[in-house]
Amino acid sequence: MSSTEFGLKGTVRELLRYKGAVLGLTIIIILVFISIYAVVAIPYDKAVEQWRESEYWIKNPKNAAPEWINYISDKKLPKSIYLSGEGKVVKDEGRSKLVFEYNFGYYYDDFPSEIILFVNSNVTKSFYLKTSFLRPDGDLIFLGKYKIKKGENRIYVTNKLDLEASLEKHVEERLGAKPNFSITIEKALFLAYTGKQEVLKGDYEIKLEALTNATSKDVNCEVVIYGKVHGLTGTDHLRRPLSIALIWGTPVALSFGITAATLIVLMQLIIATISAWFGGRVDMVLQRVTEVYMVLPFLPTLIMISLFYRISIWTLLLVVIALSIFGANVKTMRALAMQIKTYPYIEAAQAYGASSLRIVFLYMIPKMLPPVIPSIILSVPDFVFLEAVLSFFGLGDPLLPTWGKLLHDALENGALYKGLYYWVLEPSALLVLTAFSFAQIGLALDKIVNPRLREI
Amino acid sequence: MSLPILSVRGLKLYYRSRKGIVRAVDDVGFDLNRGETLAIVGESGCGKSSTARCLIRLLPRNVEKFSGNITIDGIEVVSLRDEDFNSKIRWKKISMVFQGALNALNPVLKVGDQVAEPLILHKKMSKREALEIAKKMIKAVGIPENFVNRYPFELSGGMRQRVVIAMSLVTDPEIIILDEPTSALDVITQANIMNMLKRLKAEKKFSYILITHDIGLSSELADKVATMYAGQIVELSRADEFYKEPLHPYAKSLMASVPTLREDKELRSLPGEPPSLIDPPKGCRFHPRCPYVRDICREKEPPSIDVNGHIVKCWLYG
Amino acid sequence: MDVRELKKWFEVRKGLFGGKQYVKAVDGVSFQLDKGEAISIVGESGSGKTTLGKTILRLYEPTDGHIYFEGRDITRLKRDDLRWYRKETSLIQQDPFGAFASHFSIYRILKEPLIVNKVTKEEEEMRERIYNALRDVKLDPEEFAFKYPHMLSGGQLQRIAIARALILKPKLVIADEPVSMLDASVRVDILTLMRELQKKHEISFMYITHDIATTRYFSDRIAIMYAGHMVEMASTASLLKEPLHPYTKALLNAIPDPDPENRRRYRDVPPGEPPSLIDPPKGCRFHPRCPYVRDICREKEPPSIDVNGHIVKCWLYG
Repeated sequence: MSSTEFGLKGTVRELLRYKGAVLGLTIIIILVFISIYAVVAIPYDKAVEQWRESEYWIKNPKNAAPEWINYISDKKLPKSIYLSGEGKVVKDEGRSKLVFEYNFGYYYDDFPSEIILFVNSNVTKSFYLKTSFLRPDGDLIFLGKYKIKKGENRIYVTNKLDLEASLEKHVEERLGAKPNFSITIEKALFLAYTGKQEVLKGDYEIKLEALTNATSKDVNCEVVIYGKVHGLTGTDHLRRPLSIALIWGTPVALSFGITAATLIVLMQLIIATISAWFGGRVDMVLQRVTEVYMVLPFLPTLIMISLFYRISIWTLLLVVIALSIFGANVKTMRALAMQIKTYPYIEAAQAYGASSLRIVFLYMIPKMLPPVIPSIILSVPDFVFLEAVLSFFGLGDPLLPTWGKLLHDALENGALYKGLYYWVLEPSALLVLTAFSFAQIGLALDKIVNPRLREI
Repeated sequence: MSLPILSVRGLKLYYRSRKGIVRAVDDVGFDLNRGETLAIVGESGCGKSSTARCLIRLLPRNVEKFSGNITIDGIEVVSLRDEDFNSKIRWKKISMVFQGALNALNPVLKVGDQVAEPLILHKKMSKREALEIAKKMIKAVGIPENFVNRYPFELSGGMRQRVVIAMSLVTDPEIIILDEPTSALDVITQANIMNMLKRLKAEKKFSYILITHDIGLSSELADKVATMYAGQIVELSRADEFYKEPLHPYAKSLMASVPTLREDKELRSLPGEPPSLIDPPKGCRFHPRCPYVRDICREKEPPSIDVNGHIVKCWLYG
Repeated sequence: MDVRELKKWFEVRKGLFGGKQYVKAVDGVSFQLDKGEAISIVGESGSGKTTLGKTILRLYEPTDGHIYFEGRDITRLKRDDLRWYRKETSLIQQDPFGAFASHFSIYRILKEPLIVNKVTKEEEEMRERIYNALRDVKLDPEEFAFKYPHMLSGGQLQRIAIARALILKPKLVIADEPVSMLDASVRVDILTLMRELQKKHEISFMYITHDIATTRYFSDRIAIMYAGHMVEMASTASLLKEPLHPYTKALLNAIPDPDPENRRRYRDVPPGEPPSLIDPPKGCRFHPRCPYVRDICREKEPPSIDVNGHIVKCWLYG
């Protein structure tokens, strides 16, 4: 009965003596703050909407690594470059055209991933857009002539096959031989002609000439030279920043884990205590049910249910709870309850006429809570991982962006094969950190509650 | 008279606990002559069991201080290394019957084997020899000889206690410590065991140290009585005088609070509680509860004063 | 209260295929208790005294016999019909440290019986009763009401136990070894307190104990239990002065008072130990150990014989 020595304040003070627990608590507090931020800043509906709509992220690069990778690798990967600005009306041979001239410096060690031109036109009549590219070594490359209609136009420069073919020839010419690596449009545009895959560093210029007599107000251009890094966490194959799923995954993981662990263990506690207290037939029935449950395979049953029914995360939670409440823990807790049943104060309560329900809920269960709390905390990681595993198999909630979802996407898109390690490491790291923190706290609490485990 | 078989001076045992350093035994000293019985009486937490454990060197894990002088049959043992203590002293010169030992018998060993075990371990006897002596010992403690081949669960509580006592006597030590040897037994069995111990004392001249909280029981064997309070011996006197007229206020109160069967006396209670061994009261440790308390008691710890052969730790006599 | 031939047997299963066996803890006990009277039930562990008390309180279901309380037969009443009985009776237990829910404050501990028995709905009234109960047991309500059990000493806790037992103003209180786990110096106070309150409120009291010396300070009558039977019952004074049953005589002989002469003589006590309750001896249960045993004792169980107000279950008087 040593935890009663401590009370709540004392237990917290004791807990802080264990360094692991302090570390664990700190991490969890950080995770809680992230969760609060997630729920407040990006409400559920908005998160789901953003996650589904790929159009929203068009300005992000695909499969970009996190920016901090540049600190640890010697090759500096490019960030995306966004070029925009007002066009100038220029009169040329009697015809007016709108010229957009964009300068930018490119000093990265690697080539861009994509180039897209965004042109917004208010002009009713379609017109042509001439695009050219000036390299620091003076090479001027013609990128093509594109028809611009009224409204939003997107020119995926990267996908233009004839441009690619002509640029291949261009590079061959410049190098004097066929290069021993493949040529993409971005590579060709930024290649230093050294024979190796090196970037020509320097100041570049893109010139867009809109052959129309429209004013600058009528036509807006933006050139996006997509990089290979983006943000703190990188992006996925649909250009979505991983941070959204990582941040939103936090409250999901925490609430699922904590709710499942708490409700399941509490229900098990109640079942065990009722079984122990009433004994006889009640005990027999409850124990037989428990044994049947213990024999049933948990994960396969869960997977089966998920296969047949598309379930939301809350239904999943309920199903998990329903499948777990008669678990093996009931037996250990029942043993504890049978012990408590013999304590004198229980007999005293019977002597002054306390009812069975009162004894079970007010006298026995509060006494059993202290040893049970560490096991609640220690089982939280189990449920966090469970949710991740189900999402990983594609069986969880199809709408929510969660850590398991990220892993699922990463698997489906061959992340490891393509070397996109961050895609796998980031959600895994969060899963591990969460599990570690709860385990540390749970183990420390276990030592406090269970004096025999203590090391004085 | 020859030298005492046991001589203790300045014995201290402190150990670390969560809340501080517990001064379980705080400067204890006494002598025990051959064939004599010393009873150490006191309430729970006064340090009597700890003192016994010091004598047999069964110390807790978190010892802070273990010092003093214990001389057994001329050998100073505090300074001995553990291996030497184990080979020369433990169960050869001094043995112990632990509190609740009747429940500590090995359930899978026959009774005879268990009694023989100390002989095999400590005297390096052969099993056959040891069993012979064990059988004799079992008879001596009043158990029928054919019980040698029975298991502990087949024996009653009283018999099991006799077995444990046999185990402590079988190596023929000089001193036997008995820590609450009959607390789990009914009164009639207790009387029978006391009769047995008296007989063995008369026949073999064992020296006993009897530790108990039951003052009446202590008078069954004691030639000398040491009363302990808060880790110290507050009175040490001859039995003949102690039971009639204790001198220390605590001993007086203790005597007055114990109901007696044959004497019609008025019981007096002792207010308050035994003090913490981590932070005992300043001066005399009994002063907060003492009916005769004076100023000096609150300030200075009283010395052990000799009053006609009684040693009393009280300012009333100094 | 009127108890007639009360029996309480506990079922035991021997081994996997063994048939049913019974521990006959209480095997035919009869006695009466008047309003405001205090009786001590004395016996060793295994004598059935505790089982007797708990059966009378209907914490166990009687196997046979009858219990009449204020004229009503409560032997076979169902749980719901016993509610009123729970208010009229209460229990004080042996272990002060286990007797309370450690997560309740003292205030709440004392409030529980009031809540359970729907004594009153007014918080003020309950507070008044709780505070009075604390004052009755000489504990200052302001100081103790909001403490928790782990903060109190054994003696204080036992006072709370008494307060809790009396808060419903019961007519019968059964105290099961209420002081055996307390230190000697504290016992007096608790016993005196219980005696005071018993007299003041005219409560019928059953004081169960193994320490016969304490009974003189507590009760008007003593009943001695042995192996599930009540072997002698008389007024305290006359039983202690002139015990009739051989077991009672042995019991009284066995108890040591603090007397230095004790170590110079052997006690006159019968050998052996109390019998197993599963298979008690035929006839008189004490016969295997009785120094006065006769043939009839081995064959027939003696009846309860009245010898001038002294009830004895022994063939010596029949």
